[in-house]
Amino acid sequence: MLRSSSYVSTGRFLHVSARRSDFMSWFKRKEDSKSNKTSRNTKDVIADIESGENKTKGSSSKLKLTEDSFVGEEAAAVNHAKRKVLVAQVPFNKWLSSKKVSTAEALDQAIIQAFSALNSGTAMSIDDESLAVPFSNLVNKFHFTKSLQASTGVLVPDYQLTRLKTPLEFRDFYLREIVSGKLAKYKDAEPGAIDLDSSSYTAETVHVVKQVAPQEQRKKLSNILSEVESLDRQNAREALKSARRVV
Amino acid sequence: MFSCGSSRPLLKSLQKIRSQSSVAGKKILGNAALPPLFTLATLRSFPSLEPLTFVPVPASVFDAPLRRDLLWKAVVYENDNKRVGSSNPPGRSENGYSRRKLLPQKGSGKARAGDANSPTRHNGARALARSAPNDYTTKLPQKVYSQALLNALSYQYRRGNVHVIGGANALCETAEHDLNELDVLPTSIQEDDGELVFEKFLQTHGMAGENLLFIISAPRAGLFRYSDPVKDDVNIVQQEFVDVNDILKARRVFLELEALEYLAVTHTV
Repeated sequence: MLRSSSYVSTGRFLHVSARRSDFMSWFKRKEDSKSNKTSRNTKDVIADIESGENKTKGSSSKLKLTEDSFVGEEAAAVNHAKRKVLVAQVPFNKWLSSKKVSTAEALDQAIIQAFSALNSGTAMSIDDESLAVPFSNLVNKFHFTKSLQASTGVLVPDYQLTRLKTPLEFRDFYLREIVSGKLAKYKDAEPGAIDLDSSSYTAETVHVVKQVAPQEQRKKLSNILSEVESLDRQNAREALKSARRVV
Repeated sequence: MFSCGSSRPLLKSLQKIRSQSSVAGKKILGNAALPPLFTLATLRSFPSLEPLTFVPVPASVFDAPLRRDLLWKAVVYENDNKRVGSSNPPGRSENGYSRRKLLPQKGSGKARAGDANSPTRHNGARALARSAPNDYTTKLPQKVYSQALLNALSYQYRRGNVHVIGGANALCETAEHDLNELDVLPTSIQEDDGELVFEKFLQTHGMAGENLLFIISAPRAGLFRYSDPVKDDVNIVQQEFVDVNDILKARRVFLELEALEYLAVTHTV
């Protein structure tokens, strides 16, 4: 496209600044600003800096901030707590008991309750022979297992649901897998299973020292090592200084 | 084949063995029990995992005996096919030296030599050169792979890690805040709190921080969107793209009933 001078001069573009007729004044202004600055003797400047009167930007002392210098809580912890409250408020279909069954008596009660719900509320004990009879159909089995899972707070795997045929077999499974503490944090079958807590003892003279997690152990070790290293470095520096003084 | 006379007793004994073997094939041993043809899966609603009914699943899909050899083959096959090499070594045609023969064929007193690009020489080219992207793909019979996939599902099923989601022919009604598919919806139209619902699901079932696999039959926008904060732990796969690796690595597998039907049909050997 051809651009003629007439085309350029017809309109001014928005990004063009205002026209200045006296552009020579720019040089003049620059000269004036230079003359305003008073020059100081370099020795005076050095003396000022050494005496500490004139603090330069680099030498300004840093603020030592500790946790006590701040008021309030950490933002992350506050957000976490807020989130926790919001999650707790969310409506959710809680069909499963939040507390898992932990005793054989509670388990027996749950089994009897689930079975009697099937057979129109007949009161029974766990030794009843009807509990050793296989389920008559899958619908009964479904309702029994759902009720049992809901009250015991444990999701029974489908594989076991298929294989267990009578309520007593379910009882054996629960005793073997859940009540025994097999799925718990500390397995009774393994060494070091005893998990003592300060709540286990009421006496004031007994103080339980909890087992420290490996992560905490590693963190503490690295802290100690870094402290030792810094102390070593400081000792070496001081030894060098004292050696220089002697020489 | 056999002539009369001395070979007749042999013929008789062969016939006897044949007849006995055919009879043994039909007759079941006294104490032998046929393995069950079906196993049960609980249909559950999501996200509460409340049981709605039982569905029978063929034992070949959920209760196949463990075949570690097949799983190994399938995993190696998948990982081979994921590999992409960037190695680009020069061949003797690409190597920079001249095509001039270094020595005359005879009379130098030295061994015969071609040009400086020969792979036998120091600074020579690579004998089996290749160009990126390198191909490491291997093959596996479809039947072996299909069997391995069902075997992986069976392995997770036996460990109690498979949860089937669906609502077909339910014996109970689906609760108010539940769905019959693997999707997450906010609690109301006004609030966009699907993330909180998913977090609540993880907390309630103690699955926070666990590796979860969701096998879906159709795109589920809510699940994708609201599981985003924990996307490192959550693997959402469409039924057509499920791998043996995905199933084996997951701590829990959630699959829709339609996806289970699809896998069962497409991978039945």
